[in-house]
Amino acid sequence: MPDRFTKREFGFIPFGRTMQRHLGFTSPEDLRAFLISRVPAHSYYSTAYYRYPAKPVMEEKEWMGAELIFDLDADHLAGADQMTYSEMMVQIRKEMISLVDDYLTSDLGFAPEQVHLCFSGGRGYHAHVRTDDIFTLGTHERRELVDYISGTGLDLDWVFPLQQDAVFSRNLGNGTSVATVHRYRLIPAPEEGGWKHKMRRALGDVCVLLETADPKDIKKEFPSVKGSDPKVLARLGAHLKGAEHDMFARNSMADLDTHEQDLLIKILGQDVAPRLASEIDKPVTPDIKRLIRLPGSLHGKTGLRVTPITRDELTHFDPLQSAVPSCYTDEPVKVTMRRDLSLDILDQSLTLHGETEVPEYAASFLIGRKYADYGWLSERSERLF
Amino acid sequence: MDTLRAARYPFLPEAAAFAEKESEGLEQLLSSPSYMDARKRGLARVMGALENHEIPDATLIGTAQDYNRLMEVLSYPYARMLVSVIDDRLLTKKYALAEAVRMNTLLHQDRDSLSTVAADLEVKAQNNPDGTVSIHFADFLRYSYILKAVEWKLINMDVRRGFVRLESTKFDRLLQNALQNRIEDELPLTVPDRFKPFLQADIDHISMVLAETKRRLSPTGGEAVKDGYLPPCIRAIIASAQAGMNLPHSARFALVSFLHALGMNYDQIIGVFAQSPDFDESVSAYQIKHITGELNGTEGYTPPECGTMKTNGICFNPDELCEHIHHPLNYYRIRAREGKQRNAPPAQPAELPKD
Repeated sequence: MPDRFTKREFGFIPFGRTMQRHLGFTSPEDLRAFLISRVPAHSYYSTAYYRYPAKPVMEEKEWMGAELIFDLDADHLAGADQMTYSEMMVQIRKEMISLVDDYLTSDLGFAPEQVHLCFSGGRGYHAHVRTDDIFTLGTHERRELVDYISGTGLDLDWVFPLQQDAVFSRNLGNGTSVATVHRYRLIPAPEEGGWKHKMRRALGDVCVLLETADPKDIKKEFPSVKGSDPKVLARLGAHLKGAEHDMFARNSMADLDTHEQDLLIKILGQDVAPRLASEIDKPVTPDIKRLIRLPGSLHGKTGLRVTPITRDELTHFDPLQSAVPSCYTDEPVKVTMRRDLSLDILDQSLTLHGETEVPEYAASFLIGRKYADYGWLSERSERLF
Repeated sequence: MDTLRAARYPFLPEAAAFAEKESEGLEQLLSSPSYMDARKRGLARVMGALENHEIPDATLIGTAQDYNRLMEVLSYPYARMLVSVIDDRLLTKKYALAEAVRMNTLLHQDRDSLSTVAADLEVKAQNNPDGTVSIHFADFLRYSYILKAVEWKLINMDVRRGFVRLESTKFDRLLQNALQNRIEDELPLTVPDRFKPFLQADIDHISMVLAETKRRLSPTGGEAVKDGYLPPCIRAIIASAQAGMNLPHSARFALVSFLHALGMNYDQIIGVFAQSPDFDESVSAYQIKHITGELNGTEGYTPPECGTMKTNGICFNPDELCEHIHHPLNYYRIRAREGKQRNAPPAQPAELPKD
């Protein structure tokens, strides 16, 4: 149950009808009674706390604060349409682990008990952060957090500042002197935080790859240098082998020539930074009056349970093993597959095609996700009207 | 008690304690000749904010320093009462900004007070041995997001375990925003009616200067709105309204808030809609009064900037001037200035051809 229960707005979508919202409950028992009598398809609660959560007009609710929400959804993954449900869920789990480990409990310093994780019941995960520090943050402030986590607006000249040293100056004898200026980029010091820290580490990884891989593989890994001369890349790798240790000890790229430094910056900015960023759903976090799925409720389009999990459970979480509600039976249900499918659900490996029978717990998932239709098509009588 | 700190930062609880201990209450502050200097200084705070964007400096060390410090501390509540009774958004903002800037200036030379002031402003921060300051990221965001430059983006900050490391001057800038926010939130105070006669002379003085300042700042310079200076978007919306087309909410909002910002009153604004063939005052009246703030006694809404107009699909026929501006009101300002220059007599008499 959400904390500060009586300050939350609740909303429900009944089967086949539109959302009913602006509901408030005085106790979890009241909510339970409501759910038992109505059996909604989708259940939501407000991330915001309101003085009067049940008032029908948003302005009259009197916003008091809101938990901080992050939403990761497999829809946003590149190539999601080519993946099976399980493949998508493995991919998005990886993203979620990175969000929690690289951002929430490290950079942003939240304690593990302040970060409440949830399988969304659909194709993603939610993180709900609850601490007094962040409740009153407004939309703009939360948008800055989104930019931080999604790598938006990173200034590479801040991460790797340009340094200029006058090396020597030569007097031309006619009152003019010419100074030779050595321009090079600095590398963040090991103790520096935030994106400087991430980029220093990433630069180390990039160096290793440049030193060991052949130019063809380098280009595959870093598309931003696709157009570069393979010889140049090979020379950079060889050069780095000798220079890398000093580079990181002195926090400077001074030993590389300008072109080599530019190549590194290009790779880090265009290829590496986007990979370090997290693919959070951007509009969700700044919305401070949002309704979000109620943990413990069922998702009406998958039949799966919106499941609260710990960070440790997340590591190997598989919704088709752990989010299938125990109330479903294994009674056989007739379904017609829309396409052939293999499905691992509750320790069963099902290979499905055409008209078939599956356990009830699998049927609700297959029909909800539109992988199958209820009943056997061949038994359906002609619709006369 | 550190009376110097109290006088420098009169918003601190220790300033209130100092005032309570050494003076005889608000009534005396308002009326007794003993506190004339505090009242004068209070007025100077507000006038400085209004006219020069700053609170003038005061002598707090040296001869009669105890007296001066007490007057300085007492001038603060007096100034706040003045601003509260006038209760004008522009004045309140200018005053809050000036008080905040003064704190920032003083803190530059007074690093010992930093942690006391930060704690009072509820900013979670600590000094680092290398001279930088670590501020909790949530407080950083609260007071930095209005500073739009990339160098203030969280992503370009040294973030460690929930805290942002800042050079101390940058930290001071955030504290300035924090105090400005706080003063804006606190004002207006409720000033009892029986106090008001004592404040009236100063209020009249401030109000007169405020009216003049507003006239200068207004896009129309206090003159009537001239159609020729209107940006193309607003002209297009007016044309649609007068042709009897049903305006989308965003267009209606943009139009009314824009005309209101130009200083047009309810009757003038409704006049624009009244030319529409299916005009129904009862429908428009509520919307207009809501947007202009007449309904709930506020200043009303600010008209949307160009970006919002574009997002809403109501940026019509942009011309070459539009490329250089970010807000439709600036279009009017620039066109009005151009118009004035054209009509004004040339600064130098034209040189006559010789013979």
